[in-house]
Amino acid sequence: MGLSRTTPRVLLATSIRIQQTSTNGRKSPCRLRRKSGVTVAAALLVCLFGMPHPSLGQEWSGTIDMAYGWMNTTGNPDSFRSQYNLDSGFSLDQFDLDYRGEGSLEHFSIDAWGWGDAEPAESFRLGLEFTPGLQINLEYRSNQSFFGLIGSDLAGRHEQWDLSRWRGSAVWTGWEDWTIGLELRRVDRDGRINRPHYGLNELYPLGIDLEETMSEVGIRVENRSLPVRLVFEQTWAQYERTNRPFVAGDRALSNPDDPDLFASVGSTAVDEQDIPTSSLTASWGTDRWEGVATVLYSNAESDSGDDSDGAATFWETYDIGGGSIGTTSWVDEVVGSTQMDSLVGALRLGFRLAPSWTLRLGGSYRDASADSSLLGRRLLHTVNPAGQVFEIEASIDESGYYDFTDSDIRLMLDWNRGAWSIWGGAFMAGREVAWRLTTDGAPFAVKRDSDGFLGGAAWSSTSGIDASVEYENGTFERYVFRTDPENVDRLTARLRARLGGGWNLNFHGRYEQADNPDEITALDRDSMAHGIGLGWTSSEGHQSFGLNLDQVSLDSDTDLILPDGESGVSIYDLDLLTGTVFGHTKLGRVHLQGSATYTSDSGDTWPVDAWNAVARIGYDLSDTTRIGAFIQYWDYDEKWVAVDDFTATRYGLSLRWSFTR
Amino acid sequence: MIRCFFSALLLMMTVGPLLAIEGPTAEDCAMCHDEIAAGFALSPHGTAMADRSDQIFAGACATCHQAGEAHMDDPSTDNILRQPADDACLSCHTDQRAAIDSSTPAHVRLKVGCTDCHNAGHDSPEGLHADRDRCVECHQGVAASFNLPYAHRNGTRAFDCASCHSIHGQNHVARSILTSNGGACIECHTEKRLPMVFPHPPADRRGCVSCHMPHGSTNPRQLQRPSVMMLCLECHADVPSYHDLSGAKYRNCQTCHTAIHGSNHDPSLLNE
Repeated sequence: MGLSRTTPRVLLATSIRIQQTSTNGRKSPCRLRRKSGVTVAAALLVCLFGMPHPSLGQEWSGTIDMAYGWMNTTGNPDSFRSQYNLDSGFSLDQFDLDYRGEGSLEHFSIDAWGWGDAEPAESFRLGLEFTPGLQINLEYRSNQSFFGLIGSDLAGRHEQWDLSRWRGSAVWTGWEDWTIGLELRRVDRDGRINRPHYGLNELYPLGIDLEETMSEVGIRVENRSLPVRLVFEQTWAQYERTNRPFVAGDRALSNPDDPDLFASVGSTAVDEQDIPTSSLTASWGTDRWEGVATVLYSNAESDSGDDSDGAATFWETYDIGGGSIGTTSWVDEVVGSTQMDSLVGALRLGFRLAPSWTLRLGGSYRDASADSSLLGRRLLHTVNPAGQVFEIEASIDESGYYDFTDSDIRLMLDWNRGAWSIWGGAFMAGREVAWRLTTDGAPFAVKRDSDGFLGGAAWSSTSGIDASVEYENGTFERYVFRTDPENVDRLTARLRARLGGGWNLNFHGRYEQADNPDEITALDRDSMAHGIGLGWTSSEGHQSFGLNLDQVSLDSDTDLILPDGESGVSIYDLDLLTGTVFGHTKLGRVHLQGSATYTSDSGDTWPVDAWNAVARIGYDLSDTTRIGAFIQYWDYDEKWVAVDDFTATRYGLSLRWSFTR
Repeated sequence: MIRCFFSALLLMMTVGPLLAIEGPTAEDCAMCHDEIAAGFALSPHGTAMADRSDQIFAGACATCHQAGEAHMDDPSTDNILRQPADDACLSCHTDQRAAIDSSTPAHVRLKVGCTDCHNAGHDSPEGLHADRDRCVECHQGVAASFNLPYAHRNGTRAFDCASCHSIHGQNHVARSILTSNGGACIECHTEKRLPMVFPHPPADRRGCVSCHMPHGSTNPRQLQRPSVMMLCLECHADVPSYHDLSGAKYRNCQTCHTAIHGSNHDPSLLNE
């Protein structure tokens, strides 16, 4: 009797370890309506407990791990939400359900986390595998974003929106030579942004309701039997944006006593992009050489008009003197369109010249040309209290282009023998950019070349010590942007040592210097990043602890020309230290886990101190059930102002249950 | 003659794969390593091999561990590879061969092999697909960035590195990176996708990282500078003189130039 995958599954099932997903460091998930979170948890529990008893050759396994937390914040709660966006409530830390059988449905799996009030992200994945070779996957992920600060120069903005992503795929692998896949994706962003709006020489409160979608369908065909492996992919994507502004308060923010009121604002614009993309990737290789070539082409069309393909209308209206003097409106009626063709090619080749020598050649080419136009009219519309209308109209007829061509080629030679690797090489790149964004705008065209070289060495011993060092230098001619460097030097070093007895030591360091001439911006940017990590893990994996320290310093000076014509310097001085200690242990039925991170920026520009820490304790009631408790702590302290400082604590209880049948 | 030829061909096609298994079969290995063999048979890696063919599954142990007759005669760890070499993985995962060696030469030079990131999974799916923890072991400095106050967070979970980085060179993210226009970022931040009637060229040519720090920053919005105005002025040297920087409303450029990533309506990026 030959041993097949079905044989041991039936005969030796008792020796199978239960599939369990570790919760180490993963007490999290998402936030949403509590109602939905609790509903989902209840449904999952019913689902688990109601699982049919498996027949011979079938296995079910699963885990559910959920928590309820309470949140306490002092200081600026919006500042905390801008960084972490956590809250009180239920969270599904982990849910997974796995089935393996021998019928036509060979494998079924669900993986989910989130679905509660406590966290701003959620995830769900369903996987199905049918015999002889059909795989179906469905994924959903969502993130909720919040932003609202007082002390930053972004003060006055308040944002809350959700980003939801769907992805479904069906892949047929039942043929020996071909794989065919169909993929559907959709991304939605909806929510609201409130921000200051500059109108009538004052700042007024403006709201924007977001409604943005991306839908894409793609097919992928892959051949596995030809000497050259081919992957062809064709996608059609459509992006649509129908954001709508509204008046979030008629009084000027900067001067509430101002008699002029923000009366109305609106838009009928529907922005659409249709982007079909074709790509073909070919890879092939032998023992002596290998290569990958990719060609991609897309022809994108963008249209901005109203929902009936007419001109979109944008307007904003102010009541002068509260309306007693009259109203004034700015109205734009415009149609915008852009067409962009992109052609991309990339090639990577590797040759084994001799047993220890490898030559690598890589290059890429990107060419895109976009032509845009905006047609319509702009209207200044005023009405006095008697109803008399005065209008000034100007036509809009803008056209522009935005073209670029990027190319690069890189040649590397590697020598590998035993523990040693030594490499060196050179690269050349070109960038050609040309744009004129408006009809009477200044045309911009720059062709920029760059070249450079790099070299490095690595030593990897059988005793568990790996070390490497690399130096890279690049020079650039001409400047597309003022902050482009002329010279860049970069030195990188790494050391990784497995010291034995479960100990690990890591060190990394990187120094980078970039500059450009005085006549550009006298750019002078030095950055140094280095860090060390020390960790220990017991042989059984039941205990571990470690310490990571990272230091990043950045000194950047850039000459400015201020609006009044005076010169200035933008100075950014960052001196950042991040230290983390972490560990976990198991004492009988008790599991302990914790970590703490201290972050300090002692640079002169915007110094900050921050702490965050988490501790968890779990107790195994049985082989399948664990109860636990957790506490999390955050502290944030800006040195120059205190309005965005906060201290937050979150604590709660958790329950985990797993099973196998 | 023709019949003989086809008979021989048929025999080769049916028996050939069996003969192609070098060394002991999985069944042979299971005589001593019964728990491992059973666990592997049920693991995603084992079932994937069996899905391909029973022959591949039968030769799995010998393929990865280079176990031969010598090991059966003398069950010692000296005559097998305890940790499979890359070539063993690549003998099946042929689609990764070219992608690995050419697109991630640093991993090759630093002797980072398949099993440094992927757990072959004798009895557990954990680690079969490399997760963030594997990357962090070496890229510790990057991991530290995610602890900064304004970081790319996924609730209290860290982002999976492979969400943005194309480790093996061929996936959805890689296609986005090829087309530029913001690269991997626009996979989620789709509203920033070009073309637009009036693009903001740095966002396209230098990518999102010209203004943002994607992993984490001490600055709001993960910006490269704590002050928006300074970030803008470093490039914009031709700001008209009526921008009186002593006035608060001019110190945040985005108060007026709201469509900073590009506009379909206004050449000065004053409106979407």
